[in-house]
Amino acid sequence: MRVSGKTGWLQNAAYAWLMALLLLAFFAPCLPLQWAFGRLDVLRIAAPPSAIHYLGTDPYGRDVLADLLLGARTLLAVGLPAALLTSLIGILLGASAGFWGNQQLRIPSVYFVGVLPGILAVCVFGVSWPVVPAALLGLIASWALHYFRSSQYKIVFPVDSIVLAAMLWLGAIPRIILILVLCAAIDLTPPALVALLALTSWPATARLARAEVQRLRMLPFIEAAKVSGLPPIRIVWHHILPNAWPVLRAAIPLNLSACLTFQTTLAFLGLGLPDGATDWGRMLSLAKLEPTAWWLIVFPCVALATTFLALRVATPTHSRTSA
Amino acid sequence: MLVGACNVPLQSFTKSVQSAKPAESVALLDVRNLTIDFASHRGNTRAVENVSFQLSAGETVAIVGESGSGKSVTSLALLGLIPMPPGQLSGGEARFQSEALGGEVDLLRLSEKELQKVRGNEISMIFQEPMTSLNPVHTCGAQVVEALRLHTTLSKQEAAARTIELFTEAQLPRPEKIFKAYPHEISGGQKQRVMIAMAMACQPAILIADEPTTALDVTVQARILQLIDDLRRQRNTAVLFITHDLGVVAEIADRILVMYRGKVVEQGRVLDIFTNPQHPYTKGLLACRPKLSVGKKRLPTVADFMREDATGGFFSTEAVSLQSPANEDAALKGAAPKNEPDTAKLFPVEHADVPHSADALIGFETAPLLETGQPVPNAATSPVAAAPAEAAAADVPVDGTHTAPYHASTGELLLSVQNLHVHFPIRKGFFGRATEVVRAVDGVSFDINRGETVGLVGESGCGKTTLGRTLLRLVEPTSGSILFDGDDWARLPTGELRRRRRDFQMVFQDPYAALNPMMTVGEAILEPMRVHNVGGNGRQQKDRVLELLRTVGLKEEHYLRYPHEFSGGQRQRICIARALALQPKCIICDESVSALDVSVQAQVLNLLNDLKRDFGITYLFITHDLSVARFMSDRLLVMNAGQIVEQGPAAEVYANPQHEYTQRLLAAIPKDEPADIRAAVARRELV
Repeated sequence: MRVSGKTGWLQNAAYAWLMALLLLAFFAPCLPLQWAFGRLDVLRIAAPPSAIHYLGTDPYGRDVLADLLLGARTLLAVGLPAALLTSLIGILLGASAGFWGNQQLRIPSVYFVGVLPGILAVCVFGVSWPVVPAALLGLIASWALHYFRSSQYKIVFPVDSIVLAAMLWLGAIPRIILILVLCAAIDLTPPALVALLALTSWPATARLARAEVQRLRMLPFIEAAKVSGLPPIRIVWHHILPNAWPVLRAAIPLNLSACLTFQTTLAFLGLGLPDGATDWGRMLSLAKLEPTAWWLIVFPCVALATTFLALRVATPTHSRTSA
Repeated sequence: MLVGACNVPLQSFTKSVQSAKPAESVALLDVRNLTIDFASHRGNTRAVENVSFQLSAGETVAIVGESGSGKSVTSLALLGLIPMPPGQLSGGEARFQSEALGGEVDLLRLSEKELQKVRGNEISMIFQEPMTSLNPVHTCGAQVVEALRLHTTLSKQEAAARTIELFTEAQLPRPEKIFKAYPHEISGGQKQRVMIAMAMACQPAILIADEPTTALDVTVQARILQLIDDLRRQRNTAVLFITHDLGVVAEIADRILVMYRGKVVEQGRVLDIFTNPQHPYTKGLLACRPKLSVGKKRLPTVADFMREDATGGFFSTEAVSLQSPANEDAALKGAAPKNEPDTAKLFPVEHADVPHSADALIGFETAPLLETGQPVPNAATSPVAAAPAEAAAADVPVDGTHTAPYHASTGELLLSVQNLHVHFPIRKGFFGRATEVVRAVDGVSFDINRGETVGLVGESGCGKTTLGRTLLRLVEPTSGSILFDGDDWARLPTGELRRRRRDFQMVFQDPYAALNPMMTVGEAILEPMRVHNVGGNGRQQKDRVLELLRTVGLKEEHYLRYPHEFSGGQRQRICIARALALQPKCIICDESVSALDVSVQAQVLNLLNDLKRDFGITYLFITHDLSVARFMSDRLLVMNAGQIVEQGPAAEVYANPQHEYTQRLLAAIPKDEPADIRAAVARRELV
């Protein structure tokens, strides 16, 4: 397998844009901008680009350039963790499903007694005082039971079927509607939004990881590792994941652009983070108030489009050659 | 000085062979000084250099060489099938008497349009992989009809009728049925027959067969070779047969070209090549193949015959002690009886110590009876088993020089498999219960003693690989027991199994896939030691890895290299080192040398035998190659359709096969003894 190593000018431009976006977003508060963030210029409401406001102002008199930079901060503060979490969940679930399948994962039954109720309790009652210590206690107790009486009855855990079913159900409901309903139901804070995005967008990555791991686990060197007596976790970590990485790493930029799209859509619909957080989507929605103000549409759109294109170009491609 | 000394006679005998050929008017194909280069980022590689040969109608010329010798490139170049941006024609010509193009043409300089008239029509080709050279979405018949209609003016019905005719000629059973079958519905041998029918469809003047039998079982191979030879005779087709295995062509070729590193190092009549090879490489190639007739102590390798210098020239280093293989054969033919036992290959000490006693015989005879798979209680009480025991006793010479019992082991049981079944469900019933199963391993029982090498032979699909994998619990057994070193591995819990795995290792078939490409060689060997916590602390473990690398014939500086930097033989050495790292009691070699060139194969087999002598390892040697099994094994298990049909001392089984299947298997091996070749040549001249 060979990962194409050549970078053309297009790739370089894409990397440059993404890097610039990251740096500008990070250092936005330190930039010497004439119209600082959050300040309203009530004299120039919805003013076209000028020497004072380089990219114009919105209907509330906020500077568009400052808002773009602030919006990039919000975008990356939510989008990056969401994309990383999505990739992590997807790779973990997909690799488990692909490696163990339905037959191979045997979990000592004590774990079902001790751990599952704890997880359920956390899910139902949330992360709160008596629940978390109780769940931890259950975990420790089941581990101890397992450790001191080693030959226990083990339950075959059909991880593949479970992951596939989860992907099927998540895929069956249109994602935008699912997110809209959930947005309406819960109070959205940035961590909640990250969790929401990650928990609804992992199936694509999981499908990729599952297919790749299924291919790899049949290869002789994995069997050789098994014959050497390596524990399964080590086989996955040392042998499977490094070999799957050239494929899996493409998932991260793809997840990032997917998360950014959803975040922007939510903000445009006015369902994203609570008021006060500037967002490119929300900036676009403001353009509805001033249909003639082209700068309110053009600049956020250009920023969004460039970012998505850059992410697409920067996605690592690979070509498999029969060595 | 040595280089020059070798090059001069080399050229001279090539010339003499050509001049000795009967003067023919015009050869059908006359290749002169063909030279092909491949451009890469590291510069040009010369794949084929100054290759010249002639091919006349009705003649079979074999090009023999190992991987990378340029034999396939030569044949592909004749059909213009070499992609020309990386490849480039640096010189030479290939004069072909073409009917379609009206007279003599140079194949290397034809336009694509002209080539299309030649390809499949006047020169056709059969490829190595019958599994992939047929299109899976069309029926076999449709593919041959397509080829026919492309080059002839036949109508659809006529072409279909002709195809059935061709299938009949290719000796396909029930041609009408095969006509409508898709490639996945027929066996590998049948696919190759369809390919041959397709290749012969337009009555080509030349048939190029590129390793047509390499992927096939030995019994199928024998029939396909016969078919190609029959078709050649019937239609006076010239056959260019490309192979890595000299033995395959011994009976069917008229002339042989031996290629090495892109050059023809020797060419001549088949009998001359086999009985009187001139070039050191040919000598090495002939000598390093395990022979069925003689159990040798050690296989000579090509390196014993020649060395290469930096400029790519080679010189002979033929050791005085090594006899020329032809002479040896001749000498041994008269002297040694055919059923000479496999003599003290590499452990003279054990052999000398173990007397040829009745114990050994009884030990053998108490092994499960072949056909039934049921254990026989005792040789003494069973008249059926006692008779072969006497026969075996009579056959083994007792003159002291060949005091070889069946196994060079201490007689202590290491592995005992009893009534092992492995079934794979192929159809599930209403309640998820398997209603139809494939019985991959069907009631197998055998024993392996400590220090013994047991060969497991059989054709593809007989269950030998599944058996090996089941012993290691890579496949779960359906029933039966695997007693290894006192424990039943079939019932070990997973955690315990993982800890015990250090005693029972495996060397896999494909050295290219058996190593993690992301790990250095050192890490790969070190990892199992770390996991099992053997070999002391980190530093001692590392020292041990370096020692292992030296043991298997690699260098210490290879520790930090990645697998892709090594050749197939070197990788197999790394795999062996990894298996050895845990100091196992038993190693299963699953077709471990099948993917290697013969000369490399000889080195690896020698290494395995050296390791056995030094560390007392027990091997279960799974292979489809009967000659390799004969060379390696003390005892032999013959497997067919999931059952062990015959078992016994290797020499015994080869000399006096009892089961009909074993007899068939042995009869199908290509014969390359000078007498056989002489007979084959005489046969051809008669016809």
